[in-house]
Amino acid sequence: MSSIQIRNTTKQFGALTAVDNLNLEIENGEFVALLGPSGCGKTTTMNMIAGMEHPTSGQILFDGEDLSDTRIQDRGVGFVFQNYAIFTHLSVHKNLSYALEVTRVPPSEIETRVNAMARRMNIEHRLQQKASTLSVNEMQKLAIGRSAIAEPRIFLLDEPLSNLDSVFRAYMRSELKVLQHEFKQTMVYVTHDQIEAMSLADRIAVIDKGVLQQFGDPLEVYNDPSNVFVANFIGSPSMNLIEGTLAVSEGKPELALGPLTTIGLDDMRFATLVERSAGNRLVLGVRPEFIYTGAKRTAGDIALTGVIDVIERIGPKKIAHVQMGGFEIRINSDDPDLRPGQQVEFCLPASKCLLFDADTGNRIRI
Amino acid sequence: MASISLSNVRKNYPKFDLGPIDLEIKDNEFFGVFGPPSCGKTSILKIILGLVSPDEGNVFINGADATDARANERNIAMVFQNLALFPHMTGRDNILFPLRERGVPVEEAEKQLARVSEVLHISHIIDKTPDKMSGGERQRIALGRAFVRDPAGFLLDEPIAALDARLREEMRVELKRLQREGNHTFIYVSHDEEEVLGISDRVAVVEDGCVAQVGTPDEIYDRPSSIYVARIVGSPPMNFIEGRFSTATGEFVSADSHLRIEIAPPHVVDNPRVIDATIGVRPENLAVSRGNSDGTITGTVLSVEPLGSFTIIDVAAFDGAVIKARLPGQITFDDGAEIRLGFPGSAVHLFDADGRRYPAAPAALPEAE
Repeated sequence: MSSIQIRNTTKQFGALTAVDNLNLEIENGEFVALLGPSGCGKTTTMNMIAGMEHPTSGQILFDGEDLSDTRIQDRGVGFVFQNYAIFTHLSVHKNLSYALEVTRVPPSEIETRVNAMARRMNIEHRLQQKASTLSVNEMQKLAIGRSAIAEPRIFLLDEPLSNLDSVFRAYMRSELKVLQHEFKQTMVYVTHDQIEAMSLADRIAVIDKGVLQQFGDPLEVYNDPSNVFVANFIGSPSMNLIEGTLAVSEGKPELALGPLTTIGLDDMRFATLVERSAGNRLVLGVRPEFIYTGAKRTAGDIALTGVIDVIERIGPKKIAHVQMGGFEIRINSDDPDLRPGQQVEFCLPASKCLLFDADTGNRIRI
Repeated sequence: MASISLSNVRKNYPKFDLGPIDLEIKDNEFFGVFGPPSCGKTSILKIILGLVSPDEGNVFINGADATDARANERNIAMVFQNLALFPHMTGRDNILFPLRERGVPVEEAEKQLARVSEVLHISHIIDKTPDKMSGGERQRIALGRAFVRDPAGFLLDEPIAALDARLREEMRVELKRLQREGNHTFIYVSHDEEEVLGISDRVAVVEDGCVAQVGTPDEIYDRPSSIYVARIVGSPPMNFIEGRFSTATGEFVSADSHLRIEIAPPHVVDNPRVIDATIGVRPENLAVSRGNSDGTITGTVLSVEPLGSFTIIDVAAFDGAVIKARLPGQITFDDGAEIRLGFPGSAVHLFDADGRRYPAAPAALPEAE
């Protein structure tokens, strides 16, 4: 149970900068997800927190204390990896008790804690069996249990759910959240899966190419992305990102997508865009669930027409992929009458449109 | 273009028995094969491809018995999960390889290459070697190598599993487009429910070497034939509650009597009776309300997962059962908030003691034991 301070931390491997001047303040008892595509530097960051890698520059502190000279095993860090790291030749009991034996906890207390944890993880009937006899799902429970039992100051989890089947993954997601509430442990969770990050974390650090893109709670990164990368990475199906050139016609801004397609930005929200230079490349972003079919509900909404290309059914949702002048727009619609090949009129609600600078990717706040 | 069918196909492996399997895959169909890892999906593909011969049963391609035909006589192309591109060859040489192997004249081969490049939009990458390509580009080259033979059908075994999430979403729609534009027969194997159900015309759900259900994605999602199918399709998974069902009153009562729901209008049956049953209700079909409004049961909110376009809540209900509900939009609850859950009878799935959908079909109520 510690807070973690990552200050101006950079990690270089030769010419490669894996982590670039990272600053993160993780609070005591907080569940933080490090989220990004493979190679973004999230695992390197975790390894530096653990002490397995040393920052090239900058500091990592626990409760404000510099642990650079503390041995890894004395830092009070618990680990859960994707590949379990379980002693398969030992019994379930031994796997659980090992960390306590190493730290010389009295035998009677070990027994109590092992039994409590086994009950907690629903594997008490397996205690005397070899870990190799466990199912994949039970192994991951054991892996979490054997780390949690030592009551570490911080808990690091590296893609712990990625080998599990989807039903069990959903179950473990809930379970991890309950565990964290129970133990009030600081958890740092590395994942490339935005759904996992959204559903588990108190706050998400979105990382790309070693650089922190945004640090905020799940709905903050979803509703208010700071740049195109975050907008595109968070959410499924992904946000529609429509790139075009800014023009002004009769005092109103427009976005020219191509020689034949222009989107009028009539709503008052967009009025300040006329102060920007015509010719600016902009990206208009709108999430599929905000787009509606049929006539405009609000005067400033952007009405468009396209042809439905493919309709996907994803659980209770239907996602229509609509072709419009060489662009594809994804619409998450509950309209049961949509069919492939059909022409469809739809609207982008002005109040839900986000704008980005196409060159820098940064959000334009209007 | 091909129709492919399997009739009573069986194959015994040392640790695993496949079949009997009956499948009819129509000409130009995008046919999904879905199931958890090692349920027998890939074995079915190998039998269709001719890499494995069945112990019993027949494989028909375009109506002709192809059971004894060798793989290279079946004219079916396979795209593997690991793509199996030659790393030292350019995209062009990878695509041309199967034609060169068959001694197709250079001029004809180039013509095929041009056709495939246009369809797959790969002209700008075919001179690169695979290590210089992105995951999506490699994927397209692998498809190109399958397409260039102009095969009767395509088998795709988890073809996009190795790509990252965003690219997978794009590629699966692209595959659907390719299949439809070219009028190809696709057999698409995956353990990813969202992927298979998203783009297939019909899907076979495989359980332990047998086909549990075949149907359109809507049929499988809305009318799963068994608890097994209901459980592996849908995320978060369906909620299940055990209890008893009266065929006379159409009422279900949970094992601990906390939950009573009118599921179906009473069936007119000769011998009304009460059966052991399980009900399933999808998280999005639960009616969630706050406070004291109408609802079937009360519960407390354990946790809230905000996923942006929807919200999942875990609710502790009677006897410690945890029920998951999915609500559209962004909704906040305090931890421990008291809520009510309604179980709309029309959205409740009923299964008998063997885990089969009940009644299997309106006219087919089984007799009492």
